Amino acid sequence: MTEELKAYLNKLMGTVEGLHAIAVTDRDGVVIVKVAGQMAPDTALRPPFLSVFGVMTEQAGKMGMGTNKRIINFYDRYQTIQVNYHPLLLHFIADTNANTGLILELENELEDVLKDISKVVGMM
Amino acid sequence: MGCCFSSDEDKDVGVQSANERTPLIPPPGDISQPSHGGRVGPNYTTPNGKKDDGQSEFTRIIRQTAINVIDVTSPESQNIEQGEMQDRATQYSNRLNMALSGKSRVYRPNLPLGVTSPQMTLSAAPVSMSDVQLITSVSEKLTSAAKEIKIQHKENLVVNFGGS
Repeated sequence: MTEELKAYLNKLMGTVEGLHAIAVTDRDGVVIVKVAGQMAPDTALRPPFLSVFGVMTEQAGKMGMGTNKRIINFYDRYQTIQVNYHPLLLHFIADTNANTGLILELENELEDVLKDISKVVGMM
Repeated sequence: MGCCFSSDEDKDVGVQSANERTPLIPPPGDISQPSHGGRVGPNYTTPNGKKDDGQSEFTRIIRQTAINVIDVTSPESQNIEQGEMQDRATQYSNRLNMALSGKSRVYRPNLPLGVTSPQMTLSAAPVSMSDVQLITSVSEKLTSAAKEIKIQHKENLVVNFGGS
């Protein structure tokens, strides 16, 4: 069944040009499920990178503007769109020229998946 | 004489020796003396229960302040050992398999926002060719018009501030 989930994530990944990877992790950056293309930067899919968003979103929520939901970073070659979907973190790694709006829209497509995975984290 | 009520006695004075220098709040040394309303002065000794309440409130405030402090160097994430991370990833993988195996659900992309009845949209007549041509020709005209916009230079772009 996990294979079907990964197939679905791969399918979604293919709908946005330049999207290289989708990863779902817990708050500490431990990967629960991920799919990545050949162009995906390996460093961006390791826990040391993924865990930073968990800390940042928590700290950014203390700015007096409510809970932080998403952080988007642009690098020379890549962009990362990271979504705080408590208790999960959702990470998209894409080409810097990829359509950010389309990637953000994928969060809606992933809602059912994220709800199912949330239960897994809740069991721990 | 010459001043209203100058002959009246000041009946409001409660303390015999009260004058403009008499403090309204009794000095700390006098706190044991009862005041005129029969109330006992400020009591600085509280029962043990109250003291504990104060302590716990203080602890709570300290903890809340620590939570509110923005600390991006928070080492929380680095606390996890590599081995523990691997263990947790394996656990997640197993649990995910377990959770998903009981389901006969097939994940499908949701409908676009605002589309509640796709059968209506899909069964509607396709857009006529004349409409497509109209849109194409209008957009081409607009593009060429936008390209032909030229700025006619009339005045100096930089002028002296305050100059006539």
